[in-house]
Amino acid sequence: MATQPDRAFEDLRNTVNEYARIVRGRWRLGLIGVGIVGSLAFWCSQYLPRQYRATTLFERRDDVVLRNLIQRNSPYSFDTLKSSIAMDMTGSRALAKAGVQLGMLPVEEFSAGGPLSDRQLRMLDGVRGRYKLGATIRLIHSSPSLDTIELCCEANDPQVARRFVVALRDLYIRDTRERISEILSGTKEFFELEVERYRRRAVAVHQELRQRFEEFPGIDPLDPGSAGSRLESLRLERDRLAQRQAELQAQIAAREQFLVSAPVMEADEVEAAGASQPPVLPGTEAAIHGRIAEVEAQIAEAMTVNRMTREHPAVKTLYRKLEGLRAARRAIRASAATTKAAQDAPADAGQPRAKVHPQWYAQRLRVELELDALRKQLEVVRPRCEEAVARAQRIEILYDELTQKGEELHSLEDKYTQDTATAVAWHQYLGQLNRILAAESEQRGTQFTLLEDPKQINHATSPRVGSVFAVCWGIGLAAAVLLVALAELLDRTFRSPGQVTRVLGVPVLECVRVIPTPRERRRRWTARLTWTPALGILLACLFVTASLAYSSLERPALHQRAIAKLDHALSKLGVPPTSLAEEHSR
Amino acid sequence: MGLMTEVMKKMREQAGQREVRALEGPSEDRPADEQVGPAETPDPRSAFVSSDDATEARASSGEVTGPPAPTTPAAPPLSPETVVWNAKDVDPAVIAFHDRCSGICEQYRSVRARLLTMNAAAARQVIAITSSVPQEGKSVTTVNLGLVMAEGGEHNILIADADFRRTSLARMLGIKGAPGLAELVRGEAELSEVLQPTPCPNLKIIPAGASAGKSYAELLGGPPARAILADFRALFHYTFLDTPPVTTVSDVSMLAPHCDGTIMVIEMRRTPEPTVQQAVRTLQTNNVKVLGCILSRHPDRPSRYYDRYYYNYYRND
Repeated sequence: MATQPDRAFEDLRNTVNEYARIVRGRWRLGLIGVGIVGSLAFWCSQYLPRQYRATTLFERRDDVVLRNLIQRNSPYSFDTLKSSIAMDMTGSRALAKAGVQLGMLPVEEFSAGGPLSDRQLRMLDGVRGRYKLGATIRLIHSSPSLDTIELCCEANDPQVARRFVVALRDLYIRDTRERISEILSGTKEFFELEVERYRRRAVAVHQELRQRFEEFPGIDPLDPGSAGSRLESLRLERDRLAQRQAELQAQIAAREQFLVSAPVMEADEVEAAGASQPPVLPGTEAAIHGRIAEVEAQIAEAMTVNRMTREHPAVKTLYRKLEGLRAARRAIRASAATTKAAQDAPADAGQPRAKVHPQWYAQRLRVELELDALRKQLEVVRPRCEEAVARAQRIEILYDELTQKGEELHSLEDKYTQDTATAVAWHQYLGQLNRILAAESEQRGTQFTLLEDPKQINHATSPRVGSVFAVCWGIGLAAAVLLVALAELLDRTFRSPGQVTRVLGVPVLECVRVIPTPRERRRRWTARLTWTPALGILLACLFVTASLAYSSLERPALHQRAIAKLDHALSKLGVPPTSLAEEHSR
Repeated sequence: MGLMTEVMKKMREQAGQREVRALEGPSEDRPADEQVGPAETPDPRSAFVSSDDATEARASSGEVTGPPAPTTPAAPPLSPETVVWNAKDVDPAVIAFHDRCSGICEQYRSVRARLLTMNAAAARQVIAITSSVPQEGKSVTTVNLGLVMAEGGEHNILIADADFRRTSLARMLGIKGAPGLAELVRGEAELSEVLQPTPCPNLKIIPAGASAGKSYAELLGGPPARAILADFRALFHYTFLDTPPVTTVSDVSMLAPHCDGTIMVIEMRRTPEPTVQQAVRTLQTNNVKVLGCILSRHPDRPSRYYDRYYYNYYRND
């Protein structure tokens, strides 16, 4: 008694044997199915729409200057361009521009900018549908300043795919450069205006800060100490001048008093002169000479040691003092010459002269000359003193203002500093911008480097050879299996002894094989001579169509030549040519 | 040959002298193609071969094939007359005549063994060989089966062509077609007149003869036919009637009920199931015992090894 596994194994073996019997009996039919249907499938696969892919690789590098110029959130920043690169390169607008450039779309319809109208979209969809056009973009490498971009374009025509991918790439690069140039141009104007504006502001602040201290060079408005020092020096100068003025006035008053009292004193003085000779005045001239030497030494010290110029007030004062002394010396010398002439004159030259003592007269003349010189000095000192007083008063006012408005002045100073720095920064930007604009147009802004140009497309990307062969072989085998199954299903004849026993219920005495009579041999040979060429032709058809399908996918040029030869042969036979040539030409 | 000789001696002791003579092979060296007319010492084995390879047949004589035959009752004496068939006249499909060493011939021997096994009582039988549709191999089967059954010589075998519509036995064997079974049924000829000799003394053939305008059903269904079948049983151990197809004509329905059994010949991959089923039902309806089926033109390719084995086996013997 057979166990369950034995029965299962027996069933499996019977099933396998049954299938083997079917295969042995129907292999020709299966081969017919594979041959005919597989050939048809391979032939039809040539009509499947092909998709060809063209790929280009390029690099987009952000410019360092531009990175500083353009804000990160700006629509023209590197990051924004990165996020919108897919739309910029593969969007409808980009495809339309590429189509226009390649002559697939009318220029006049797409000359206007802005979003595409419905009509334009329909035209673009027509081109897309005609060429099965599609573009994809992939960032192979992405960093904050460098992107490696792969642009793929698929179409049912290899040339269209290649031209489209080049057009899309070039248009994107050109548009980006144009946009960057626009930005740079606009930015330059803006930068220039900003530089000018900040400079003006700085100048205004500077003027506001410095205009009150213009007459006081060297005074820092923000440094009350320096203003105080200047104030002290001005006060000293004022006091010195006032003292000098007072001295001069006193000397003038003294000499005027002398002159007023001179006629009374004349007789006394003349008598006294006869008795005792008036002293000669060589000592006075020597004193003036000593003073002149002293002043010249002071001037020399001021100009050499203190590095004062002739315009310096102290130096000017010393020079004026020197001139006064020199004038006094000349007056003394002139007086001395006059006195000597009077002494050398004859006695009858005049009565009055005889009455006045020459020494007295010389004294009086000297006093008059001194008085005249002092008056002149006073005329010089008085306005200077008044001026010094006025300047001291003004600087006192400024000093008070400086101490009272210190904060305000500091803020003005800060504003000036800030405006100056901003103007300098904008100026630097402007310099960089000018450098960029001075460069070649291809090197401006975001820089593009072409890494890989689209290659010559030799084979289709879709459908794939493996898929086509798998499907076609699958269809052929399915047809073969279907045919064999149908034949087996519809065959009502007896095919095995077991079937006879099962159907009729009578025993099978024996299965007698075919008797090899000459007629049977002839029949076999006839069958062989019929079947072998037929199956050979079928297999040849299968091989040829499979080769055509393969070459149409992997070797389009070879396939076109083969189809041309096939059409030529068909035309010689009077058979209409295949439509594959039209497919290729289309 | 030593073991075979011992087996034959034992069988001789058991079955008697006649059967021993039949089982023994030919002892003389006379060529078979020289045997014309009655032979004193018939050699059924050598008579099967054609005149072209009679020498080869003599070399392979003396074999015993098939299962041991049961003891059969003694048959009435037949005319020992034999003839030599010209191989060119015999249809190549008569494989048991042309190439008895072939595997196909062995398959017919297998049928003989089955028939002998089924007939354990060794009753004399008249077996109709029919089919459901024409051209399925009835005549070929009948002739080959008769020739194989006659091998050994212990059974008297008759082959009768009962297909009056398409007589084929005479054409296949190259013998004269009349007088035959039709004349015998009509009483126009005696049995001895219609029995035609064959190369095998225990095998006789009755061709179809000429129907002479009578309906075939009338010929086969009448009492004369039944009487003739009884005569066949009395004279022959096995009588094989080559009958028309069952579904085409009704002749076999008239004749087969008087037979002891029917063998259906079915050509594989040709005859539809329903047709065969209808034929079998027709026979069973007429109380005909279907002994079994012989599937002809079986498509399985024979093993070359076994073919070579059979051939060499017989040649060595």
